[in-house]
Amino acid sequence: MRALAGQRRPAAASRARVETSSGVPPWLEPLRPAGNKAITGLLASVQRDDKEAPSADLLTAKQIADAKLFYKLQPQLYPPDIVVQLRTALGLLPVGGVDDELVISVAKFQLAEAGGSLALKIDGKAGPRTLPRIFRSGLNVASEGEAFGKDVQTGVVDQWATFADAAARRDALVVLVNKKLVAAGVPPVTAAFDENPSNAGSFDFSTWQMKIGRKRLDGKTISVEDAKDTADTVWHEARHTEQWFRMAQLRAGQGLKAPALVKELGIPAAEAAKARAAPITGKSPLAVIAQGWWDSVYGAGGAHRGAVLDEIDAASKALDKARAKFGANKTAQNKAALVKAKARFDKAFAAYQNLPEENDAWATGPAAAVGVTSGSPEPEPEPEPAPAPAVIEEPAGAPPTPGESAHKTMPEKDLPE
Amino acid sequence: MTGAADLATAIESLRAAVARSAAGTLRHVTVELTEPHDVSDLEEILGAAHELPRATSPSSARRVQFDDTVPDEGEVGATVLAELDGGGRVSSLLIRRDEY
Repeated sequence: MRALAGQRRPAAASRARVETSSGVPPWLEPLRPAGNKAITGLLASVQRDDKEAPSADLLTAKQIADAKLFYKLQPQLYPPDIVVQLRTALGLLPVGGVDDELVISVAKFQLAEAGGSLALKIDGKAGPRTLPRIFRSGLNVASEGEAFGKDVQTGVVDQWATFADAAARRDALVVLVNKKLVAAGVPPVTAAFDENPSNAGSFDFSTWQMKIGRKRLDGKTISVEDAKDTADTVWHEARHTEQWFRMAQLRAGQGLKAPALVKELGIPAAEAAKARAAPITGKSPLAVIAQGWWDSVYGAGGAHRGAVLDEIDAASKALDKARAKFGANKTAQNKAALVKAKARFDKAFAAYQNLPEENDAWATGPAAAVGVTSGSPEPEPEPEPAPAPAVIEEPAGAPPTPGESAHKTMPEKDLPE
Repeated sequence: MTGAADLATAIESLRAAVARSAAGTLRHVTVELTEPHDVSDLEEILGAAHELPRATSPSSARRVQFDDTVPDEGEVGATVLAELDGGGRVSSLLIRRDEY
């Protein structure tokens, strides 16, 4: 889900979204004018300072040992051939296994990602948040996102006024994103409006629908900021679609037939059949990545995920309530309650963005915004009403101007015949 | 007929209509119940339900799926899912046309 920034949650809450999406803690807020990229770069070094004294490299000896244990305790996820692929992707020699060099290289990669849209924890563990960024595929390839953004620019934003209504714009966006999904081997979605006014968009896996907020699509024009955010939202939700299909392919590769996929994942039969026909088999980075998403949504992480979603929903409602109360009566007590509600929301939102599938989607969406470069053209001015009949000011019987037809100026022309 | 029997009849009629619809004409229908029902009431009609993970929106409704309604491989059917209200009772049904 992507919340509609600045709508249901104006000011503080929408800022929280930006903060958490870039990994900037509230205490770095005064540095915001320096820009997200600068702040997140700073954040990386601050995070290291917060922990134990760092070694000459990024991690302490204890952190390196801890990371090595992380791989060794999960041999089903990190068998030797996956470790070889990981080493190769990071520019290391394939041989060496899980050694200090691998762990430090992962940490360096995580540090380099700090300049992106959503920082990674620097711990040397290539887990479910880091792996999709090392092994980019499908919609997670930045050039794909930017290309989609360009499609949105030319196919929807530049043509804004030619669409009949918000539904037509929504459908055009979904046609564009479906081309990308199909190219990535993912079944296309159907389009619907997300009727929750606080949502910019969501993906409903039970109906295989992409739901898009109506508000931004309803105006006669769209600003460049809103156009960028719309492209980002659609790409974010499309990445969720891809995640769900990869999970289905993974489970198909693990032996589940189509009806079992429907029962376990709750997806429609048509999409289950397509996953069954194209299973993810063997030990591949994509299989490990999809396993991370499955673990988070359907596996051992499912209860945690449910609690995180419950909490952000509750925290969002509590923040709205506190904001309304303070707006109506600006007492010190109501202000304190608002600050507390905001802190609760920020914490809940950070936990939500840290879910593997959300972390991945939040890191994927912004590439689409890059391809959007302007808002919609100014609408054509309304045609002026037809001019009123000319008022002839000359006195009746005035002589015609030399060289002009007498009938043009003769008052009789308007007289009944 | 009792209320439960009426509900069972209505659900079966809907499922039959959804399953009979021509391919490509209908994906699912949503039905609001006139009053909330316990999941157990519907389990008596449709078999055991299991709760699905929430969709990607935190504000999305909790859903259960009645797995016995999922068609077998090669069949066309109508799978029943139920949306739960804040109290965990069924407020609406989603009947999805499923074809492999």
